Formats: sequence, structure tokens, C-alpha cells
Amino acid sequence: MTLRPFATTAALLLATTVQAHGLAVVAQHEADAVTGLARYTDQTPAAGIYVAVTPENSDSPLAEGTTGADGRFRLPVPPGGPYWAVVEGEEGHRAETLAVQLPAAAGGNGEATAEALRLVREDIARLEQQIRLRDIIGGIGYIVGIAGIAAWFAARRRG
Amino acid sequence: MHLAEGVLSAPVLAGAAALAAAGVAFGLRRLGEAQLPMAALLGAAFFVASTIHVPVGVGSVHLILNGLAGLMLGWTVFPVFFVALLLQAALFSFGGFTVLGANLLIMALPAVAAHYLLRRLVRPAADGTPPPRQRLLVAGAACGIVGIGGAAALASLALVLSGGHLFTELIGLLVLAHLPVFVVDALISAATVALLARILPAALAAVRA
Repeated sequence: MTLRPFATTAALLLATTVQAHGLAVVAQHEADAVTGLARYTDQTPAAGIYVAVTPENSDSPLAEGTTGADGRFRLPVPPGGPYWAVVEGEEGHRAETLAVQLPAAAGGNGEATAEALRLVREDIARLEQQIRLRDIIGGIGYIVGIAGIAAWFAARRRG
Repeated sequence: MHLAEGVLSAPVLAGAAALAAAGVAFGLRRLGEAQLPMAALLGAAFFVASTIHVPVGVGSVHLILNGLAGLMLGWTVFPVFFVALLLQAALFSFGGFTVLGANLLIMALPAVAAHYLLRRLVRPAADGTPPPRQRLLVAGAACGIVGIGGAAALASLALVLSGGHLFTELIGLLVLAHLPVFVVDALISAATVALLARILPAALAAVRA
């Protein structure tokens, strides 16, 4: 009895990064760039995937790039807007969002303010994307209800 | 394996929606009263499975279990998965409403294939003796492989038909990336089938001819 098949399987499992099914993006338009963060629904960063900024009502990208290892991106854009950020990942994943225009910060610490806003927006997005227990239980409730309706119809047909 | 909104082209979406609607209609006609509780149970399992992330190495995989549901239900998986995918799109933003038809085909067609390929393995013999345990485990594991492999193949096909940038490189990746899902789904499905045979043999006997 050798352990090699198991070791091979384990190595394969460890070597393959698997992404969960959903991709989500949060983005904001700062003074001279669109910045943002792409994450999968299990909250792992979507690293190294395609990202583009497009003007509203247009599909042709103004700027293109890839996300960093932490899932963040920064694409320089001309002033104007509003802009949309589109990310496209493996397995037919895609997400887009309006890059919210951040107000220009007054005073000397504009970059610090923008960074703080970025972090807050990322946190809000994370909370919004979280799969909640009440949603799961609600969904099961729907399924039970639909089965109940089907059973009612079946009983009427018979009776 | 849920394809997102805006990835597929309009003709692919329309064709998939039409085929999926036909599948749902056909599945509803085959849904017998006796099958209803099992259909609801497996629908709920499929709905919940994709929210359970199993950490594997640096990433995580989620269960799909479409093959297992297909083995037990046959064509009835179409309406069952339709409800589950609709709820996943509404509650979790997995997939989306315009790609519902395509995602339904991707999940349900391999499930139906699993039913026709594997049902002989799990049905008890004519005299009522249950099939040997090994055969049940093989059938369960094969559910995972047929279900996930078929879904990956169909998702790739939909992406190819839609063209677009980046996709050609991604299609090989789709199968590679799902390798751990194969393993996890096969293990869970095999365990479930073996457990059903022990505690609820009537469920397997009811797998339709």
C-alpha cells in the first residue's frame, strides 16, 4: 500500500486555485483615476483578472488593465464621467459597477481621505455581498412552500 | 459555475432559454406526486450546496451536487433546478435572470445524463435485494464526475458560442479549476447514495425506469 495516489491528489488540490461562483466589484472615481476592488463571493480577492473602465452609454473601454494580487486596481482616466468599471474573470465571471465620483478633498491630506473612503466603501460592499443565513433559510422556505403548492394541486387532481 | 450576466451573446441566451423552458415543461409533466418530497429535498440541497464553501488549499470550492439530484430525479431536475437557480439569483446574486436559461441547461442536462447512465447501478434487483455497497459508491462518485464534468463542458460550449475576448484561454481553465469540485462532489455523492441505501432503501427503489 503506497500513499502516492493520495499525495498526488493532495498536491493537485493544493496547486489549483479555485474561485467561487460569484464575482463582485466596488469602484470609485477619484481625481485622476478609477480605483476599486474585485472579490469573489467567498471574499477572496480576484487577483490578476481583466478590468476595464468604460464611459456611460459606451462599450469601448477608456482604460484597461488587470487587478493586483490583492484584487485592487487603479486605472488612470481623463476627468469627466460618469464611468463604469467592468471586471471579467475566469469561468465566465463578470461584474460591473458605477464608479462613484469621490469629492475632491480639501486641505493637504487628500490622499489619506480618499484612502479612508476607499476602505469604507470596500467594507460596505463586503457586507452587502455576504451570504446571510436568513437568505439561505428564506430560500429553503420558498422551496418548501412551492412543494406544498404542488402537493396541493396533486391532491386536488386525485381527489 | 454560474455564468454571469453580460457574458453570453443574445442568440445563445435566447436559444438556451427556449431549450430550458422546454426542459422545465417536460420535467413538470414527469413530476409524479410520489416524487414530490424527494424533489423538494434535493432542490433545497442543491440550493444550499453552492453557499457552502469548502476550503481547499489556497482557495475554496463549493458543492454543486447536480449529478446526485439528477440520478434520483431524472427529467424532474429541470423544474427543481429552475426554482433553486431562480432563488440563488434573487437572494445571492449568483448568475442572473437573463442567464437563467443557460445556467439551467448547464446544471440540468448533465444531471439527466447521470440519471440515464447510472440508474441501473442503484436500483435493487428484481427480488428486492439491494445492490452491493461498492456499486453504490461507484454510482455516487460517478454522479459527481458526470454532473460537474458535463456542466464544465456545457459552460465552455456556451462561452465558445458567444465568442469574446479572454474566453479561449479560459475554457481549459474551467475544467482544471474544477478538479477539486470533482473530488468533493464525488465523495459527498457517493456517501449520500450509500447512506440512502442503508437508511432509506425505498428512495433508491423509486428511481424511475
